[in-house]
Amino acid sequence: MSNVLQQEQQMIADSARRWATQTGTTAQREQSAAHAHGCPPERWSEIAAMGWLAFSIPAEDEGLGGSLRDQCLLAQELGRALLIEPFIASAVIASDLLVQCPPGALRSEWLTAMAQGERRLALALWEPQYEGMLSAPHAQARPSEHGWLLDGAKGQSPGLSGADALLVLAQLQTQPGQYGQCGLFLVSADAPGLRLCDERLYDGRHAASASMESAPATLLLAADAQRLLAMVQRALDRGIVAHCAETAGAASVALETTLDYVKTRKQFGRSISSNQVVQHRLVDLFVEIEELKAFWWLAASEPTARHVSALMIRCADVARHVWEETLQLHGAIGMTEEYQLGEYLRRLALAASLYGSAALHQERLAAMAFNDHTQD
Amino acid sequence: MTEIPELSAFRQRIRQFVRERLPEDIRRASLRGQQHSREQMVRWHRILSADQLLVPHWDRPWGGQGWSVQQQMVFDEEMALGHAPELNSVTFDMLGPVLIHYGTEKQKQRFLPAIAAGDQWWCQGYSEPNAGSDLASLATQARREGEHYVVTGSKIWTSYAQYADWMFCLVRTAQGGKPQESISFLLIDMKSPGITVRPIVGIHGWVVFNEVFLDHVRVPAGLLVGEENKGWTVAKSLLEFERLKLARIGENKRRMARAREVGRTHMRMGKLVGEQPWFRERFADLESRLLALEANAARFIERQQAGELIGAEVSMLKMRGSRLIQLWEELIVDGLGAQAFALDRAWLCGEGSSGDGAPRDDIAATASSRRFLARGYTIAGGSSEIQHNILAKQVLGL
Repeated sequence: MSNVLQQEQQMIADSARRWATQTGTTAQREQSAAHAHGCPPERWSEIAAMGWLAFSIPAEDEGLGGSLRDQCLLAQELGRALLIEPFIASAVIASDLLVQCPPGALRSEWLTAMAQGERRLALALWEPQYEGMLSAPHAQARPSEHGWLLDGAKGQSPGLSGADALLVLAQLQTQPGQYGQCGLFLVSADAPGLRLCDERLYDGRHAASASMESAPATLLLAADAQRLLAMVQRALDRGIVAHCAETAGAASVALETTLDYVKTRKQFGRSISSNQVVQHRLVDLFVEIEELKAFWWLAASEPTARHVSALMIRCADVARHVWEETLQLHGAIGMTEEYQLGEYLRRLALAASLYGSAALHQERLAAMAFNDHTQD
Repeated sequence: MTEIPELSAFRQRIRQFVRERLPEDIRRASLRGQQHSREQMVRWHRILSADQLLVPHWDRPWGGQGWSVQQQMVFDEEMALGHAPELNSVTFDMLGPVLIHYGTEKQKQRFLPAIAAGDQWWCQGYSEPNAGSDLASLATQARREGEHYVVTGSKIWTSYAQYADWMFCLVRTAQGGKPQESISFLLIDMKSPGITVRPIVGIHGWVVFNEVFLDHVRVPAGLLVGEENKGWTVAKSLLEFERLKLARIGENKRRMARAREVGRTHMRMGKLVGEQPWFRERFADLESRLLALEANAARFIERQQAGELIGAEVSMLKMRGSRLIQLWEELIVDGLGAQAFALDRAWLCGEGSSGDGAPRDDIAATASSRRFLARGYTIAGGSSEIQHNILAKQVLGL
């Protein structure tokens, strides 16, 4: 069952489905995953040529000024094809953070280049050992005669390696040994002193941690840490909604694959789908996925903290339930590398916590219900 | 979700109405989770009726207000959150629409104004000792004798039959054959000679269910709804809005508010329950389920308003909404611990408390009974297993 789509939305979904069906093959995914940083430039250009990188970029910067809903619709289709390239990390999260920055030549230049796929940007989301949870930066920025220099480290975030530049938060040194405000910096990928440690994750996507030693950087915005973190939180929240849409797409395919399988697989002289226990378990998955689709659709229209956290809790729960159950209902074949389901299982397992765990979001939601005594 | 201004103004209007017009004793009974008396319910029906709010979802000529589905959902929600009693859905959501759709002009004139005025209470006589979800096994016979049907048999799990003036009933009018061809839909006056109601006390301590015995009960043939032997079509014709309502968003929110209240005001082991990690985790999990359910119901509504036919898929709303109510009730009971152990039958029925008569805790004193009562949601109106079967066959093609 689909959401009620406007005509342009239907076109987005249809073209994404067509592209994803054509290019979303196991061989193509393996090629992208085996690439040095999980994002072959020719693939990124292909995605840009579809216009998809311009969605969240304002029209005055040569973007399409589209809505988060449209982006999510796209993400759901790309999720069906298990896109390896960091669409959400770059085209949703990093784009949105840059869009939030005050207007200026640098911002415009980058947004335009990003919309066209000429440059890719990614945000170093997490502090080391705080992956999944936003926290105040430890990295430090000090002024020098050539501009700002950064020292410090960032935890493993999707999309960093291969990006043309990173967005990085750091504390601003006012005098030697003294720090006041924080800054949002643009660090060029070829900046001396920047080192990325890239990993291929178990679903084929890549993520990297970063370390900086006197790495030159350009200051985009100086503000207090709270304000900058609120901006990052907004960008991350939008990324989470897109991530949930993407996960719903992947989960749908896992379910469809399983439905086909149980209808054809025969045991004891009949298809295993004729067993009520199998039917009811599949119904549960179907209903959970439908709820997830309806929920991201709602959250995308206005991603409030409450909706985003609740959505991520559902997403983590559904992703886990779907991968565990579709594997079990397949039996041993589901555990093999060569059978197509396996890629979906790995994607879903990772999706449950790639952008923060359910536990974290449960606490965020509970705090709204129990810590704030003003909203009685 | 930001509401459009008109809907938000509508919500305020309903909220204000409940705050100003719901009698204090009725409000208190719902707040405490006590069972309302028939008198209380009828009094509230009449207050709603006086402001045209008892059957706003019916067709206009019969008292409907022509509200959008969203408005109707908001209305239900505000009723639940303002501590109004849950209305008897078999009367207002099932029988009323059935009569509007299938009733003869005479039947409509006779019953609809009385129901819309809040004067009449109906119960539903479907289940029998050997026919729960499986209506093919229905055994209550209706034999035609001149201008009457003579009905003999028994019905069970008949909710609030002890309060009811009338019962709408499925009876067998032909032997064998498919249920679609042998069952009829009959309206029976509960005061008819030959009817005996035996109350069944539930594990929760209340009388909700009854057994209804029919011994040669004479029913005028003019009280047949639809054609003879076509009662099954009438019975399963729940209109789309009523099926959307089965998500029970309002009833779920009522329970979420209670769970939150437990967390914010009740202490255990020297600490507010809402400060304890296990409670916070479960609360947040259920809240996320409720928001997802609400989003899903909203999507069905959007589809319906876009002119799409809502198919068997809508079963998922009943399946999820009913289960979620139970999960909330379990959380409330677990949060309260020993405070919810006692059973005080007088208190449950709003007749003061046993012992010294001092008021008991608003939430704790009925929490355990309500948790048992909530088990009915996944059994009645097509059990969750039946909903699973419907989705498996009609939607997934299994």
